[in-house]
Amino acid sequence: MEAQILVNGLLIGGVYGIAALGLGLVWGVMSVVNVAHGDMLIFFAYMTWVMVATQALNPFVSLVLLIPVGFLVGMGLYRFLVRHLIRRSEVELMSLVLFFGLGAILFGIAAYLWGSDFRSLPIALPTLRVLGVAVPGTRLAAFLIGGGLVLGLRWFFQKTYWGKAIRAVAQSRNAARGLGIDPDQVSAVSFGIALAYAGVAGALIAMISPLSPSLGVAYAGRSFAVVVLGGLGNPVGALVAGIVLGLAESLSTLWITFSLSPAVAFVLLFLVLILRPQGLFKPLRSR
Amino acid sequence: MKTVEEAPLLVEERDLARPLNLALAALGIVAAVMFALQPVLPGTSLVFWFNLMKAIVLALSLNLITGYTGYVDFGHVVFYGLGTYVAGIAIGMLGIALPLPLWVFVGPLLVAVIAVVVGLPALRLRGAYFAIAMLSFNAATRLIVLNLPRDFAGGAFGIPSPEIYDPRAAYYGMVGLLVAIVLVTVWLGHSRFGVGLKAIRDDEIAAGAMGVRTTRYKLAAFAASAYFAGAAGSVDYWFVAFTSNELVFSNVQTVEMVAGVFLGGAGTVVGPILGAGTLYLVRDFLWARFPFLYLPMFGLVIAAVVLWVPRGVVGFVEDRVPSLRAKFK
Repeated sequence: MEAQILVNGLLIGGVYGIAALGLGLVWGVMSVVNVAHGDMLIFFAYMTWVMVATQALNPFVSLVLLIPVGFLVGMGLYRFLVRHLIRRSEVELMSLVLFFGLGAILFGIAAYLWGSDFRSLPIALPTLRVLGVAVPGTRLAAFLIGGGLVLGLRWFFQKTYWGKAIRAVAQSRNAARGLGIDPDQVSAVSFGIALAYAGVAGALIAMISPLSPSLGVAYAGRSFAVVVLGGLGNPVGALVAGIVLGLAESLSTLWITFSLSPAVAFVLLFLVLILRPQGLFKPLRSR
Repeated sequence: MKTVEEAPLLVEERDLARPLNLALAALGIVAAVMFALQPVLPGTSLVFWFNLMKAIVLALSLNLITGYTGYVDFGHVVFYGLGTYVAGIAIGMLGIALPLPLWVFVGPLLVAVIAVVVGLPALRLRGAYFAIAMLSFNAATRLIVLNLPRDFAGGAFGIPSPEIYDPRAAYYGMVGLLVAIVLVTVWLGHSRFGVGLKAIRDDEIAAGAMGVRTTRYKLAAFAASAYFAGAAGSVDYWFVAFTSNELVFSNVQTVEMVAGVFLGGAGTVVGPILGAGTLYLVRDFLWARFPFLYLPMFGLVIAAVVLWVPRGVVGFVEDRVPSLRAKFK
């Protein structure tokens, strides 16, 4: 029983990790706090559902399709909205309010189009049995995809030119400019990557849980908890924090009550913010 | 700090200042009388006017912490929700025999105490971290209230108290609340306390260095802001004689408050009244015709204001008519 709960928590933790990455990335690189992140994740999840349920697409194909879609949406958001805020002195506060508004728009549209009841994907990979513990195939696949892409991002940050440029801009826009890096371009690409990851995360969420528009709030809380625990834009930190949160949530169903488990992320977040606002891992902007 | 407030006005500014202030005061009295007269006028919808006042009170309450102190509170609805539960539990569950008109104003003091307990750690967080801490505080509170014992907080069913249903009396409770919060906000514009809050908003470290007791000031503003939101909740409970988890902790209400404050102009008296009032009328119009349009509409208003008129309607007017500057405060 305990082993089963630990496996469940571990598997969902990979999804929490990738879900939070996009939020931490734009926050770390340009001090923009995307409070609409949860609503964006759920919107992507619904897009997956639409593709699978109405176009009979394979969910994994729709996941791949959402990568370029997310990237373009992210670039567009930066070019048309965020760029105008970055030049102002109070970027963080103003972006907070701006994205609060965007989140309301997305939530309203999702509630209008799909809000009437829970939607879930007709997908179930075979369940494996390891040492008497059931490992649902879909969740295992989601964990491997999520975890793999998160670690891939770490490689990207460490080894590629664009990854290093993103880290440079996160440390100082002006110093980066002095080195011949265009912070505007790099920010746009970061936003694109952030939403491409959100697209993948949305598809994974659609695969592992029934969807409702209010799931956005739950995922916003989880993503913020992961970002704050794991450091702004630190991929490995996000994965570890995601797993910690996944384990905490599933253990809470054992110790407290099932209906309180969504509160775990919020309580954890509130406590971490107050006790250790600098997080447990190094953020992207420190070396 | 006081020098800023007492700096002599330019001649043409002074010429406009007095008549404008008098006009605003007269307008306020006319509005208060108009609100107070609604129940005795034939053919008015009490619900419409009550909810209009509620929207304005809630926006003004958020304005106390977000507009004056610069701490954006994305979980402000939690205090309104707790206010409905403070009244609901006391009246519907425990049957406390305090007279209702008294209880709906005394009970929310408990909400203010909760705000102080939460604010002590939370107000140490800056910017986005405070906003998110409050967002999560609201979400966690909603779930915790939902899971409290059913014979104490009603669970998912909520707390009805049909025996106290008296919308006409509750209506006057809201009129009183509206007048009180408008007076408090006007006072902020003219007091040492208000100037201290604005100094914190503009630069908290500098304000502290100038001798503003930042922690106390922030806590006081937060407690007042929570008290008024909580009182709006308690009076609302009086008005509808019902509260339920699903409704009173809804983020949608926070969206409305934020939209109202920023559309009108944060940190002013006139701004949130104008913003929340206008949005309420639009919402009322949309609700009847396109119920699903209204949340995206509020979102669009927020986004558009941030991008094009970050200081709201009041800031927009001030920028074009400089002689009005500081007159709406």
